[in-house]
Amino acid sequence: MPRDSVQETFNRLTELPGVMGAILVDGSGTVLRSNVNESASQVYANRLVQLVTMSRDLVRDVEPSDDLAYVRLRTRKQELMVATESQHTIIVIQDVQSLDQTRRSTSASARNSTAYDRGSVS
Amino acid sequence: MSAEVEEMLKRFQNFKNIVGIMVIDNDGIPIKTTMEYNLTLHYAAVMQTLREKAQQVVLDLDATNEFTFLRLRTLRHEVLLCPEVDYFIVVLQLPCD
Repeated sequence: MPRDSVQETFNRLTELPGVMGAILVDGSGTVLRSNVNESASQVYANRLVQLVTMSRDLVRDVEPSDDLAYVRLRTRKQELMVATESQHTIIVIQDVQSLDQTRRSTSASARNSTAYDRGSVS
Repeated sequence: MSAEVEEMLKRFQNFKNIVGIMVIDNDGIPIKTTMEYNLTLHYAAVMQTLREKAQQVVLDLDATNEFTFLRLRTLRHEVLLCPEVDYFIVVLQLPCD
């Protein structure tokens, strides 16, 4: 993937609503892109790559034919979404309130559409 | 109180996406489970380690923050880990999408 489109995609990601920060890490733990300060990025990268590796081993241990897609770590202040694919890891730091709002409206609309299908909404 | 817990477990277990619910204490010993026992023991051991690791990661990143929930999405399932003071709950479910 050419460098500009990586940067472009990364910028688009950081502009999504509720995204407070994003960090792209390579296979050796080097931060490739980040909109968070350098030292914090490195700490996030180190810790979360370890967590993802542990999670992946866990998944394969319990069910060898399964594999990890992503990890969502929720804390009081933020939600961290970590996904790995062929050597790269992306960490997205999201705001808890925006996420919950999106989830609430998605599940409400799913419930309404199901009710409509069942004909219970006039 | 335990009748309420049973009732709640039964209610959640009836949701069509739920594969199993496990309540595990801080030593990795299952307290309650709706799944087969050996599999529960396996999950209990690995999820306890993961819970400790996640807690450590959150505190390393920000000592004033608190780890409240973990969601592992795999190709086939979703594993939810909800830590409490004296125990933690693990739910295995089929993803909605």
